[in-house]
Amino acid sequence: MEQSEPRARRAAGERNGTRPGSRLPFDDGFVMGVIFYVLIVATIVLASDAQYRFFYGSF
Amino acid sequence: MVRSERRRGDVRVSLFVSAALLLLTDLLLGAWRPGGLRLPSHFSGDYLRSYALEHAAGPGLVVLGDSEMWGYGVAAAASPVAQLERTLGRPVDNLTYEAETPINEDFVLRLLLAHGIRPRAVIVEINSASFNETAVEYDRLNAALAEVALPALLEPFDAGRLDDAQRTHVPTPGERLDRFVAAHWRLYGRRVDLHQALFGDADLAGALFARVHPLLQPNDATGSGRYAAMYDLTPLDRDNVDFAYAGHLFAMLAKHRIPGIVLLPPVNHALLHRYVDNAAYDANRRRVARLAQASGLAVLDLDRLLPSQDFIDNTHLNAAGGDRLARAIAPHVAPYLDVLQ
Repeated sequence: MEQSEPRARRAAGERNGTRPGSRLPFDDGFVMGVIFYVLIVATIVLASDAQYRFFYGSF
Repeated sequence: MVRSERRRGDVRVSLFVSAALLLLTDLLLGAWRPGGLRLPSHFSGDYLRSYALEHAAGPGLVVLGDSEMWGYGVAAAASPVAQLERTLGRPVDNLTYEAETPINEDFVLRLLLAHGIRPRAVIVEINSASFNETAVEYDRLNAALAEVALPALLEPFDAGRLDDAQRTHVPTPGERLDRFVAAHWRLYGRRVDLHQALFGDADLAGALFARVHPLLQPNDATGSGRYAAMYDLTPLDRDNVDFAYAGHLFAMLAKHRIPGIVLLPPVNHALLHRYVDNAAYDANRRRVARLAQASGLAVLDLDRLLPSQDFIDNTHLNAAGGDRLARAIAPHVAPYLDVLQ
């Protein structure tokens, strides 16, 4: 028996373990892009030792 | 099949989004003009150059000096330079930074002149502690200043004076790559400035250092003992690198007809009595004064201006001390106000 489209989508959501309506309002790729960006900025800004050149040795 | 295509699509979207955000960040950083009342504690070479050129090109009185004028321990608005600006009611451009010794002041002025900027009038603060040969900043430039000043601004005068590790330094391939990336990617080049803008000095390394340092040197951690080796009372002459650079700086001001006041700033004599209340300390101050006067500069000796309660340590002032210092300087700046219109 052929399912109607909403029912098919609901069924797919149940199979994937997600409930319809709990998805993020963004595409997964967009969210991952933002996460990559935050990681890159955080790594560069927080993991740099450049600000310690003056007081902590190599000045 | 459908899932792998979807995944490829997601990867393309995520790469595009992160690249777009990084590009946007660089555009915003390009539009970011260093402002504020003073330089932060740490800054990149690019930030220093932008800040110095933008401020010194204005109509204001330029102040060169170290942490005492910069306002160590107080908010930027309570620093002596900010209070001087309020007292005068005229723009005062704060080109001070922590440990800006005479060798650093000399190169900051060279940097301005090399960019065609001639300050209208200058206050040069010369701290007696600058002449201490054991201080790390005695014969070295701030790392950010070295980035923008070396080797382009070197003169024969620097040979044998500026630390050889800086003067003759040949960048390693790693350093060249670092400079290349910093020059073409603002997020990377301005990472120190971003760190300062976001977190200031409140970082883990600073907190640890403040806790651990007194444990390593318990006898010197409190009282005047920690300043025992700070004031070198050897008679100053041209063999002292910072005395030589002070002379070079004064001569440069005279050569370019930049009116200037050399400020010998207040010192906490009650705290430092054992080290500075003696004839050798006074004689060295007179030597600096004569050096400035030989180049036609005015000298303002405020060494004993303030009582102990105006200090937070040996030389740094609280807000009330900064206010008193600003009020003491202001009348001496009056003769130069006509060139600051």
